[in-house]
Amino acid sequence: VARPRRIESVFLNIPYDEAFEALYIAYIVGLTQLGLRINAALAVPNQGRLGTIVNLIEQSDFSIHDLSRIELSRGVPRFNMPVELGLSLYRSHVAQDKHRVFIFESRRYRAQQSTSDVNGIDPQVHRGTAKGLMAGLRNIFRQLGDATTVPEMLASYRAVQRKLPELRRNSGGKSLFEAAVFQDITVAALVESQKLLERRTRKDPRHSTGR
Amino acid sequence: VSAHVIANPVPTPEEMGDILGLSSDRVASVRRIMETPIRQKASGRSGSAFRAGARKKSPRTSPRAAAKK
Repeated sequence: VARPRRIESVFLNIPYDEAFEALYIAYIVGLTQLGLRINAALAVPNQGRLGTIVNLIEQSDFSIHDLSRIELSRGVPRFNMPVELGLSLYRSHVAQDKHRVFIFESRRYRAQQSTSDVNGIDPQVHRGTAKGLMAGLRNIFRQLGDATTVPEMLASYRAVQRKLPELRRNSGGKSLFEAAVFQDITVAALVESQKLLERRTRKDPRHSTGR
Repeated sequence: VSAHVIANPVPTPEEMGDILGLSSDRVASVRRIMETPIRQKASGRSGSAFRAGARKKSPRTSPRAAAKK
């Protein structure tokens, strides 16, 4: 059996809760369609969680930290995301830039105020929308050859969203934030990628997948 | 921010399934879900019956017809 080829991977540090559901789907679809594998600390119990996160960061070529939701939660600020950002920054420092760190925010200049130590990193501002998020991803990642455009990623995002009830049923998950559903959404995004390529090939037969 | 160029092409669903340790059946089931067109909600009437009903109904509901009455 042939070993799967290596695919560049990204550690995804975002809030995994219902209020963030739309952007959670947008991150999975966008990153996967750019050709990346996502490492996420989903369904990891609190005990040993830190060790798992450190391992995931070490295995990843990049990390994305969404700081749009570090506000107070029941009177307490949410520190998990800044903590994981700190771990990634250290990883980037010791790995001599083999690990790149990217920050996403919903509001312009807020990351510079909340986390001024990272002023050297320009945050991508998604304004809480899937479109802003996809545009941010396209700013930081480029593809060789056939590039997936923002409108194409958005169309795939909507297609996956429409199928979420079935995908959730298929994986037997109660929540979208379970590992099994997450994996199925990843595969679903790639089925949409193939449809895009087929559509392009039909329009212009000179287009090929390059594989 | 300088953009990073991703070296690998976008994997196929099956390649990603291998990487994630998913069975081929599981990948196939996701493919089936994504490739099945979404069913429209059935109204109980065919398209032509629905349009005929709408045509019949419109004179009675138009403001001009109501004014004549």
